[in-house]
Amino acid sequence: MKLKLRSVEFEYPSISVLKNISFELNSQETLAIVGKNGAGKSTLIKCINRILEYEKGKILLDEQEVAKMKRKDIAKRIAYLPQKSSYTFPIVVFDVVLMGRYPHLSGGNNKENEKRVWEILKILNLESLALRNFGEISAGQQQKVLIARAIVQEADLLLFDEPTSNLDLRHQLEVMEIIKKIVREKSISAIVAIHDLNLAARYSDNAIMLNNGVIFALGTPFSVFTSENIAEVYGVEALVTEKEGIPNIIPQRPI
Amino acid sequence: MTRTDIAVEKYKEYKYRKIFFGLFLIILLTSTIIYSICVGSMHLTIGEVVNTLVHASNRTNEVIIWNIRLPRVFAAVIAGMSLAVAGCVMQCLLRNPLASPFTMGISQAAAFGAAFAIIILGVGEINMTDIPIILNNPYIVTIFAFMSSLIGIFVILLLAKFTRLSPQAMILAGIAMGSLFSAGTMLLQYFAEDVKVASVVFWTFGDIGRAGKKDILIMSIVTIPALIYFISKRWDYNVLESGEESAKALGVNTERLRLFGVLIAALITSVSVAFLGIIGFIGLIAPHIMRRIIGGDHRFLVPMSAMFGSVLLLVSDTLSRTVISPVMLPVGILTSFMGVPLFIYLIIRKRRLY
Repeated sequence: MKLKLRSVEFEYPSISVLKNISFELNSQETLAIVGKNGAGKSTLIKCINRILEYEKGKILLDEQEVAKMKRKDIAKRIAYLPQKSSYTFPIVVFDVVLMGRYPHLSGGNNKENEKRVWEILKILNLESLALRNFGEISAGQQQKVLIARAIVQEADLLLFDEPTSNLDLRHQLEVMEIIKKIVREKSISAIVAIHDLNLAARYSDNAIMLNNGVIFALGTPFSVFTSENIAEVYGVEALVTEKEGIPNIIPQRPI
Repeated sequence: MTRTDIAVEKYKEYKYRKIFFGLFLIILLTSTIIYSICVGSMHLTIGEVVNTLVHASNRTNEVIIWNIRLPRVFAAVIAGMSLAVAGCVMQCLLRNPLASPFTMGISQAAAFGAAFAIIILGVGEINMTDIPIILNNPYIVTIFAFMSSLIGIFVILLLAKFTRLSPQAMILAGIAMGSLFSAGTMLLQYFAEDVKVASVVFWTFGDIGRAGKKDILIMSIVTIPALIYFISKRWDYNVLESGEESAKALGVNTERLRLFGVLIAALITSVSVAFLGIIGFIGLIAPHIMRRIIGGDHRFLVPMSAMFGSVLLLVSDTLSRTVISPVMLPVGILTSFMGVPLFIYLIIRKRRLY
């Protein structure tokens, strides 16, 4: 898998959100996208699998232009976890995960699909939740269920829109660990939009810092998460030290 | 057994429960149909019914069954099915538990069409000789009701298509259109003679007995392919439940699915309403009752809502013509009296796992 973005632009009516976004993503790579609220993180994620239709530029998935692919074909390659997921009507966890098989459905073999779902639920230790109502489990469990759905989709690129935003400390780490593990074990790639700079630094190979819809910095966590960049983009004075080969960011005060 | 095995067994049980409930519904529907054919102002035994259907022995029974009871039973089954399945699909497509065919303003629009035909065109008045062709056509009220509800739906769908209305906004647009048509009806009634006002009001009471054999044929031709379409889209509806963005990401063309689904649901409802008048609540209640019992999986929900809608309307209609016989109550009243208590019971009952 190789993903290339070339000068992608997107605007909502009257507001330009993304300008001139270009980067590449290789197989087995985890890319973090950080930036202030409204910097365009979610928008960028949604443009990649065409939930939002970008106007200018090109997004190439193995040299194939995403804008010209069928939705189902995109879904076979790219899985997406929204920031918020709500069901209008009650649905059990198993059936939520089963939906991940939708792009691969062809007529019949339900047994095979159900078998895959059980395998993933077992790996993520979620079997005992299978018959629980999705709306009644905790936010952390919900996030894990949705990750299970993304894995079952068997895509080779996973897009996460703030996967840890409303989770407790333990679940934040658990979710990031799962993401890291599946990227490594299944040799796939992930793009994670995230607020927490330390989680971003720790779990990504490369990072993009967005500012007002343009790429402000792009590179390894060490080159992106510097005191100067954080001061410029967030307006926050921060101390950046090194710990176990990972940048450790300690915010001090707003400038 | 490992933990997974136990979970797998439980899920199987959960699925079999739904299948069993489906079989139960089939039996319930069949027995309701048989019962409805037997009862009425002249009671028949099952033996007599079978005899008449198979070898046409008794002339009176033959007339009762073929010309009166069977058309009525069929009309109730088809109309109940179309209203319930339309409600089920709309609730999913518009992501709103309050959605039903009538939320889109269909009943108000149909009533306006009927009022227009009765009051302005004077359909049904015998001494109007200047436009005899229209007067001789008994379908004119039906056609106007149908056309009028289609106009309402198309306005909403065009708005949705070209301005990318959200599902919530579509419901609001539907309610607004409904109010507009109601105002139109009231305006017409305000200036009309009292006899005509009475016939408009009478038209709005749903009545299954109104449908002739040809009407039932038309209703079936429209409803059955629609039902097959809805069942074929069962996975798409399930995926859509996870939200607009998730559904797109999983490969569903949500705009097209919504546009076609709402259009077809509206179409089958309009046909029923145009032929039978307004039959409220089935479209709202039947799918919700099924959701409470078997859950929200559209693989089961779509066909079972359809069957349950048929049962509900058929039972209501049978009661409406037997409960204070020989008076026949408008079935719309009975559907609410039957459905609402059942519905409220299911809402307040302790929530089961599903």
